[in-house]
Amino acid sequence: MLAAALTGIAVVLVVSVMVGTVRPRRYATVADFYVAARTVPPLRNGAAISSEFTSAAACLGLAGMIATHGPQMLWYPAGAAAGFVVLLALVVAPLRRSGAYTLPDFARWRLGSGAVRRMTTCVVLAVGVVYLVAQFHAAGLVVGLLTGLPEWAGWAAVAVPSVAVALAGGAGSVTSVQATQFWMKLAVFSGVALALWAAWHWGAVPDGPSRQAAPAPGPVRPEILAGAGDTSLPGVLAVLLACALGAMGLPHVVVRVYASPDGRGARRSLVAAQALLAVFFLLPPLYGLLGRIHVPHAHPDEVVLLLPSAMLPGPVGDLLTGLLGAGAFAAFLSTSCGTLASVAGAVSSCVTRASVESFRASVAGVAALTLAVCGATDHGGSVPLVLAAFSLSAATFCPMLVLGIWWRRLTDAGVAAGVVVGGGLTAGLVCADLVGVNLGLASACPAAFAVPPAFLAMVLMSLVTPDRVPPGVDAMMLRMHLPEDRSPR
Amino acid sequence: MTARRVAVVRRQATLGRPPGREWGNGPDHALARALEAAPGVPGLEETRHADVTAVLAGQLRASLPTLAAVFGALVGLPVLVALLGPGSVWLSLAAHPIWVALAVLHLNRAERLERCSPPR
Repeated sequence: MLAAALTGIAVVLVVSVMVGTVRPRRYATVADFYVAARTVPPLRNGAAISSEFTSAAACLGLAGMIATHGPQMLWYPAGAAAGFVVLLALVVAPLRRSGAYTLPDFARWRLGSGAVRRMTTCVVLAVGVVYLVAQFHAAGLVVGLLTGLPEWAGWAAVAVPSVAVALAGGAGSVTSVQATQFWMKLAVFSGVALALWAAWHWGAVPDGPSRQAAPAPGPVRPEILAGAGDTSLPGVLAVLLACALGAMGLPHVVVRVYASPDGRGARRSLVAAQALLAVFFLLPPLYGLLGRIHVPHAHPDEVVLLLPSAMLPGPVGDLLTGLLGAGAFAAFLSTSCGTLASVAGAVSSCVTRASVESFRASVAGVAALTLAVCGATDHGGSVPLVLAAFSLSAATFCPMLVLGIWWRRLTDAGVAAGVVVGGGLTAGLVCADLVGVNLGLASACPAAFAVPPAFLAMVLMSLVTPDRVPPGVDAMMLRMHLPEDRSPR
Repeated sequence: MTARRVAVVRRQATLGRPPGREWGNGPDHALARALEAAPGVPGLEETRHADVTAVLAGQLRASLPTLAAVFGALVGLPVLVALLGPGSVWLSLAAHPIWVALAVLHLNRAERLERCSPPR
């Protein structure tokens, strides 16, 4: 299994770095570097969006949650995909037409406030680092499981190529890598799933937990951080709400909107991503079902990788495990590249004047910060971490984007109040839960408790500060809501 | 030999109201009417408040059915499964075709709304 796993992972790393760096694109301006010159066609952009979205949590964690926590977890993929329809209906075209590069840029442009820009940059950094930590920890777990190497080897195996790709050619390189990796992931995970399902269906595999894959020492730790793993109906609904509202504020997903040539292209990219995700999200339930039968006691992020050897011991199982290891690394890399590039773009344009050099310094800085956080934390599971990021995004960026795009009276003071209330509540509930202070339903469903107060705070504070409505707000609204060829520029 | 750079300018698509036809009263025509009332969309400072209201209302009317359907399905399907019993949890897989259908319908509606508006 070691040789197959190492070969698969090596192939993914080499292909990714080659696609991203061997022929980097040349850009005329810094803006082009940040947003892939805004020339990515819808299907390719849709594949890149899907690739970013199908991270460690989607490829490994969801199936593991279904296997270890039961079929109620089948709702999670549905909730994650629903966020794209909300994004399409409310945000995507106006956001693209605003012309801003990142969420903090949008806040600066719409509200005319440098303070709000800095505040939203901090939230982007927090969401991005949580997402990256989930990828790095999952990579460490996979490398340890497949090769026996220490966890930090997995972090390095993701961090080094991700930084290389992001440094080489900005968003253009990242887009190429992600689009390639999506098709790679889809082929690997669907091919192996079909092989395992066929083996199980035609009786080549004995029913029941495999002796070889066996039970982990001690019970599986219940993962109920940010609502993940709560099988009650309110718990499931709260997670679905966080997913549906949080997708619009994920920095690495939203930045892809800017890679489209116009608002129409951005909408079409999102519809392409929706269709591709609908196909991909059929796979976690299949792995979860097989995992529940054959490796029910494994760590959630290990279930998918343990399945082939548990079901088909021998060279065939080793080969399939190697393929899945490669697919998992494609997932870690695609999400890490995109998140690094988007967070670094936001940080660099906030801290200094936008330039390629500051972008590259920010990429290195964000990667170093992520590695430091990884070193200071344990791996609890990718899905809880990703859900915490979704919850934070839902309680901060969702109200800012929805009100900023559709409500003229939003002010910078309103956004600041909403971000403090929503972000503070979410961070407080999640951190309290981490240190063992459980506040019942509020701890289990932070998004459900933080999103309404965040909206309320934004609206109320904006209403009491009408003099802070930025001048020219009507022109901004027309610019966002009219097609490019007829809006005021 | 170096490749010669050629600037390609895309011809603007023919958009707008067919000659001799009035805009209808449906939601698709809200944006068109608003723009027709403010021909050429004036400069940043002169943009009229009422026009923006009409544009926002028209687009919001296009988005609200999609949102209602998404949140209705997002809440309704788990509640339905809870009522039917745990064996029906596989109904969750039906959500994905629903999302794709809603996305395509919304895309068509939004593009139709923009197509029916007159050129500047």
